[in-house]
Amino acid sequence: MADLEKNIQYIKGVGPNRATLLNKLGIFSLKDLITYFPREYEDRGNAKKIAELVDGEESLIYAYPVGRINEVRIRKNLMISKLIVRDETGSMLVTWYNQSYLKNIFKPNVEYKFYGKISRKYGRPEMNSPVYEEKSLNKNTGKIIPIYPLTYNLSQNVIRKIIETGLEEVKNSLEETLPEYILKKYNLYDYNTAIHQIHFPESFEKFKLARNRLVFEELFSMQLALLSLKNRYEIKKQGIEFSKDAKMSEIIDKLPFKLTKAQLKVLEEIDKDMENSKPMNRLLQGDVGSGKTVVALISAYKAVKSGYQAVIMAPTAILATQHLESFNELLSDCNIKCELLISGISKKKKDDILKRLENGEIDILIGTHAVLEENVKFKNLGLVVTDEQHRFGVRQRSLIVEKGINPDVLVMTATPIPRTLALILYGDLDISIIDELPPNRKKIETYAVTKSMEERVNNFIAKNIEEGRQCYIVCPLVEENEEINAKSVMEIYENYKNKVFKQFRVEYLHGKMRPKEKDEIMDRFKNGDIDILVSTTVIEVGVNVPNSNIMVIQNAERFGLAQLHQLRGRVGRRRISILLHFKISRKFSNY
Amino acid sequence: MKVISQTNDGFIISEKDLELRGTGEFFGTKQHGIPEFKIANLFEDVSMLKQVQGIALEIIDKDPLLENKENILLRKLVDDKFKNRIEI
Repeated sequence: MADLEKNIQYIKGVGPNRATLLNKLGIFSLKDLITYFPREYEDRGNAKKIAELVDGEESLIYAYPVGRINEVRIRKNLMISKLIVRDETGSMLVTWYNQSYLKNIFKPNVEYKFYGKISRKYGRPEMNSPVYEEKSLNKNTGKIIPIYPLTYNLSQNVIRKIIETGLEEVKNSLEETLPEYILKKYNLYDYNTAIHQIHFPESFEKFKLARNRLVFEELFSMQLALLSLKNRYEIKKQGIEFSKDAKMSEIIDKLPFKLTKAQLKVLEEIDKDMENSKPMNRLLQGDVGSGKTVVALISAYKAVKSGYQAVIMAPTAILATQHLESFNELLSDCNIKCELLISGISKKKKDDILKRLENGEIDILIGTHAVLEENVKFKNLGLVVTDEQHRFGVRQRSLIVEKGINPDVLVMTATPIPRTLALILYGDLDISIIDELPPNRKKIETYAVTKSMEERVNNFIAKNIEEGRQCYIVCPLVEENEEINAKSVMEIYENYKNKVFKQFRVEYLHGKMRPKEKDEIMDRFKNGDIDILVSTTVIEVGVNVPNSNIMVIQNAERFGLAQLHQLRGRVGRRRISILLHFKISRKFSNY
Repeated sequence: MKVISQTNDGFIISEKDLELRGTGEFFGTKQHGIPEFKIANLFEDVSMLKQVQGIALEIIDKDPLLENKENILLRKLVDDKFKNRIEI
């Protein structure tokens, strides 16, 4: 049987260079390779007659060349090769750009296959840059061809060949992953067939069956895992009953602002959960700026006043620090001790915090992943709040939960997951939603503009900065490669600093920088010492810079809508009117 | 782009986004706890999701720790999930 863990490098036709490229796609082992599924398929199986060709469709035809290739030079760097081909129903024009080597390739009286997109001009069909080969061969055309999601420097042909080799190695020897009774009952393909047919389907029906089996397995194992997890929670049912005398209203009345109805409703749900003996497991969803942090604070207040400790886990040090600041401010005369635990603090300070945490002198601990460390021990942890849940995941959540005895758990997220989906994905959590923004928050104005308006956008930025405001420039994540992302940040930064905005203070921020550097830049931005901050999406997770009122998102088409929405939430968390620009630098019509 | 410049409601946006892009890109890159699917698409495969949820419930109900002989492979699937970056 083939070794599925075998390093990809040792598969025939791979070698160190291609291995590096494959690694970028997350392919390290033979197993990764054969489970790297096609993104789509091209049906090069069913040939059409020239007379049947439809404008805009990808089609396969069999045809004979008529005469030779005719080369037409349009301008210095553009040469078009034209070839007329015909079958018994009509003729078609085939064109290529700058491919002079084609000139003598096509032999008369030989039948070729052409596969490509049809455009019909003046009645006659045309095919531009088709895939072609002699009809008697059967390599690139003539079947359903998988198309893989790829990185540059790796072509479809190459990866197809490598995957073919990989499949050859495991040929029908893969262990079944689903029990026999399930395969039977739900009429699923066995694993070997599914894996083979998903890459090189013999027919569309077989592809569907293969996909069906693999999707089944993927979703099914996720559901099983979720349910197992939930089971684990429920086995230890006895949680904390927080005191009815620790009233949330005490702190609510002291707040310098009024809560929204939505916040109050959510707090009521949390209050009920906390007083109940069953451990709370609640997901709190709310848009950026909807006031989730204050809900966390009020919940923590109740926990502390009931005699327990609370921990707030944030995804970044900046956010944790910001939370600490607002907690200290709002809890100033409540006799509650808050501390910050992040990785950057000194050993001495850390030891001191750990000691006071363990003997109960600290009521609320706010921090990053650092709070998960083994030596972080609580005296009596009663409430766990994880902020922006998507950075943590279930495992971290359970790690922190283990630090108490069945503490209540509140998971906060700003990712607005559609409710139906949330119910399924978070089968283990109850859900609360804050669906209302505080009244003082102005609607964020959003403009989608094209690259051609860049100058106007820049003038607008300059005007705002002169009025004392600040601006974010967000560069897109090109791919999961920090180096490339950092580069795109640096390019824009250099251009701004040295040319476009040389009169202003421009700085940059990207994922390759040390946490300390990042924090320092964010601090300076917060303090108003930076006018324009060019950054990757590292700012994505809630940072309060009230004075920043413009965000320009470069190549906005590369972001998901939800992500754009979260990003723009970063501008102007306070009462300043807001403008947000998308620069669309290439044709983009999907939205 | 039209969607996002016209509404401030995150839920409307997320529904639309899911519809347009599928879950792979739905949560952007890198930063989410939603499982990254190799093949499933939560928008297209919602009915499958509901079906397997029912099946999983039934099985876990009868065999909470997946200890029955016939469920050995399922135990393994779950363990694998937890072993790898369990970002469920």
